[in-house]
Amino acid sequence: MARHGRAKHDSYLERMKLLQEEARHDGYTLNFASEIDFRQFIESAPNMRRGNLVLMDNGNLRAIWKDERGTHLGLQFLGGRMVQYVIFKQREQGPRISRVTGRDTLEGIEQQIGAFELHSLVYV
Amino acid sequence: MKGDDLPEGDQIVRYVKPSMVRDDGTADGSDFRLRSGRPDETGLSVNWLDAFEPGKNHQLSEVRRLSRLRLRASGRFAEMNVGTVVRQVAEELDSLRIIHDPLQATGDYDADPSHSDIAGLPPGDTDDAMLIGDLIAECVIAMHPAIVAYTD
Repeated sequence: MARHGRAKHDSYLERMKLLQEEARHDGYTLNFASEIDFRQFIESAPNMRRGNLVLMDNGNLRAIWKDERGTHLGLQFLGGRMVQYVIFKQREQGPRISRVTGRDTLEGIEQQIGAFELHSLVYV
Repeated sequence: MKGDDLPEGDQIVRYVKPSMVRDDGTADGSDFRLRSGRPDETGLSVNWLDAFEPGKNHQLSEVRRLSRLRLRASGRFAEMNVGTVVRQVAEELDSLRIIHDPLQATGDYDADPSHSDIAGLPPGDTDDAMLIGDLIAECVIAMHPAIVAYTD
């Protein structure tokens, strides 16, 4: 793993440790299947930007990438290689933002990122 | 009055659990959805700041004092404008209302005139719930500490 990738990985590990501690105080725990999928997702692309990470009260990890223009990708790692996505996409023309949500496989999410032209949001 | 829609110009806050405060200090949309393990839950609890006398510090202090939640130091109160939330969400969902639901005094708790509900949300485990949650999170205008240490 390249040095940048290792630093990002360690940063996520530190964040997960903190989130687990916070969740424990509030009476819920990290879903192990969600953690496995999240780790696999971030390790699949070393050039992925560091996203915000939260731990939901159902035990699932959720990562979020957003920019100043209102474009936004949220991924909840459901376990079983399934991901729930929320995409807000500021289109080049027109004031409206396209908003979509759904579920896809870990592999399918890569295609959604491409289809919604979110490469620059997610990858360096 | 109980059941009335809150005025659009007024402000509300919702307590955001520590694990759903993002790295950058903002509130995640996952905290603005009904809990999937609670099918009896029909609304999202919020506090109506304008139920108290003016002054943001005083209003937040009253919310903290009367809260029935176990507030934690790393939790935050997310502040939103009622009209902004209703209008923003209406672009995707027209059933959302923010209604007054004051709590009566019980046992160890004083009455809470500020308690209100965000009603008309999709079930918490649905994809739509997460999309609406993210929309509401975008309406947050300020994050406030859930606990403030007072010194003499």
